[in-house]
Amino acid sequence: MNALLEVRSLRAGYGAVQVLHGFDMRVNEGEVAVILGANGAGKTTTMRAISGMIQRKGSIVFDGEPITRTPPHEIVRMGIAQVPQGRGTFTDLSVADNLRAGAYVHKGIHIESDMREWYDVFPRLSERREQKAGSLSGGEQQMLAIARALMSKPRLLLCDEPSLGLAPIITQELFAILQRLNTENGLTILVVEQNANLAVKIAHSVFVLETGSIVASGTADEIANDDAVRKAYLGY
Amino acid sequence: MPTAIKESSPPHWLARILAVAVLAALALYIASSAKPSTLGNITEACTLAVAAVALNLLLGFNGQISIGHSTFAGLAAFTAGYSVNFWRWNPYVSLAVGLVLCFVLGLALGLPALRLKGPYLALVTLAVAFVWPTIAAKFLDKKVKASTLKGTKLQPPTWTGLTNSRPDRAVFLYWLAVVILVLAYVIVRNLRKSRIGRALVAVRDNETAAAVMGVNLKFTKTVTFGISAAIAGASGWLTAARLDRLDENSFTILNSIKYLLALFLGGAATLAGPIVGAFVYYFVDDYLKTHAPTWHWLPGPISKGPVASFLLGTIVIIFVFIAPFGLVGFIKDQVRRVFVVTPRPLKQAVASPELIEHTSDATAAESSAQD
Ligand SMILES: Nc1ncnc2c1ncn2[C@@H]1O[C@H](COP(=O)(O)OP(=O)(O)O)[C@@H](O)[C@H]1O
Ligand SMILES: [Mg+2]
Repeated sequence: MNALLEVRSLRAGYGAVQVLHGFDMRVNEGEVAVILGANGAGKTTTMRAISGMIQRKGSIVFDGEPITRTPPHEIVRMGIAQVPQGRGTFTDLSVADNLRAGAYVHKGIHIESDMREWYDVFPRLSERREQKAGSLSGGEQQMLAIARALMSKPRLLLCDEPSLGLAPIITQELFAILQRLNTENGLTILVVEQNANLAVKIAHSVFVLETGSIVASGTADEIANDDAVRKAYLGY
Repeated sequence: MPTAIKESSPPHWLARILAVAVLAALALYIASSAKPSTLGNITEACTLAVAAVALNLLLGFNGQISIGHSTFAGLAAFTAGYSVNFWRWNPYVSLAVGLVLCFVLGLALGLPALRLKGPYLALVTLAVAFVWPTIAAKFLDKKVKASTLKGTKLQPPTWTGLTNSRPDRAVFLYWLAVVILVLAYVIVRNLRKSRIGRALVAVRDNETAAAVMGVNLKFTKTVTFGISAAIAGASGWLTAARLDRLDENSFTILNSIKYLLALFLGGAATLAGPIVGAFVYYFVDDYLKTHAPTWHWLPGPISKGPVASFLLGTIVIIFVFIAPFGLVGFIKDQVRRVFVVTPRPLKQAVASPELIEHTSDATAAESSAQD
């Protein structure tokens, strides 16, 4: 299978503090990959390393191109979009302007028709399109954050704990949408999660991250059958 | 229930056109009928408004604080005064050069702003505002002090039909100020409504999210600082055009604080806020200065000294409690009870299977073209 993202001995951190201690990871084109990890394991740091927000060492190759030294604003143009932890919607902008802002890297004319496409996927955003994003519920804001990321027309979508702070039923809806984006739009998705049942259900491959190292990886089935992992992350 | 008006429908356009027409008529009426001293006051209020508009771009929309904007106004004012008086430059050339200098200094100040936030950035810009008068004093000591654009240095062009008499000159300066204010407003408005403007607000609301959307944080923040500084420079140039004399105390930190007060009084991050705020601030201040000193009926020690600044401070504090989003935010809230503007309906995408297939082909072609 064709690797869209290939990470080799990735090391990254903040200043003198190293958080990621050199691991390998591979996300195939057209797949959903999930990184499981407890609080503080380094999941967000991994996302930030891939999207270029922090200094990193080792090698990150996206679609055959090394991006280890590429600044974030160019990585977006290459086709990686990140939904940051805590959603990061622009609360003072309207829903529509959030989406337009998501298309920042495309100066072109397709923006309004792209917006309509995502309004079809997220009808509740369409109803609220002129409201300030700050007035949306948590679930709606997460949908908005995803739709906004999609506006940059990514080939790889990074989702940092999308279920954080959401009611279970909303989380279900969210993962159903992510799965649809994968199967219907062929989008490659990398999700990080703490509570992982739903995430593993839509995943093709799973990585388990503990204190900055990957301690287990495999297909979703393999991981679900691994007793230690199941106890620690799936809770049964 | 408020009445709903559709965005960009005829009534909405009518309301917009009416607003512009009323403002234009008002500007013309004032020019033709006001006394020179009143025109001078309005010119001064416009000058303050230009600086507040500049600060709004930086602080209101981009979230970067500056207490150093008086420095940019001072730089452009002294550039104009000096170059016109000692190098015989055309005053409009001196304006252009002043704006460029301010832009460059703004970029330079934007660099520490990349690493510093909130109170730390405030401190750096505050330091600049503090240092400026000393530098200005050194600069001015060398030559004559009265280096402004007064008298014959900046005259009404002949096509205006105005002479250089005191009343005509007041009209001329008034129009200069109005035109510069309108330009500053239009620049900030167009920026705000554009792709760049959304990026500015995005950076203010969430830097990480803005960066992963492809916004170049360094570039956006420093260039915003530069543009805001240049607009503040235009305000300084107007001051040089209006005053007979500039000295080291013409652009102190107090000016910067006035810009901030005007901005918050009117409403930061709204387009009209800084202008409304500047006019209200200026005229309330002016009124209090002439009327309040005689208010001996005020209680206790308050009535002894000059009470104008005390009262103005009190008014601003009370006001911030009543209307935290400024006058414009307050008025908008009131208007919303009567009228709401509803968004244009979405054009329905035609969902024929052929079309869908076609679009997905197009996206596939596009993505392979990117490879
Ligand atoms: N900005 C930062 N500066 C310094 N240390 C940080 C920063 N962000 C996170 N860390 C540290 O890095 C480690 C991993 O954090 P993070 O990647 O956010 O974990 P996760 O997303 O898995 O909860 C934690 O020990 C955390 O304290
Ligand atoms: Mg995290």
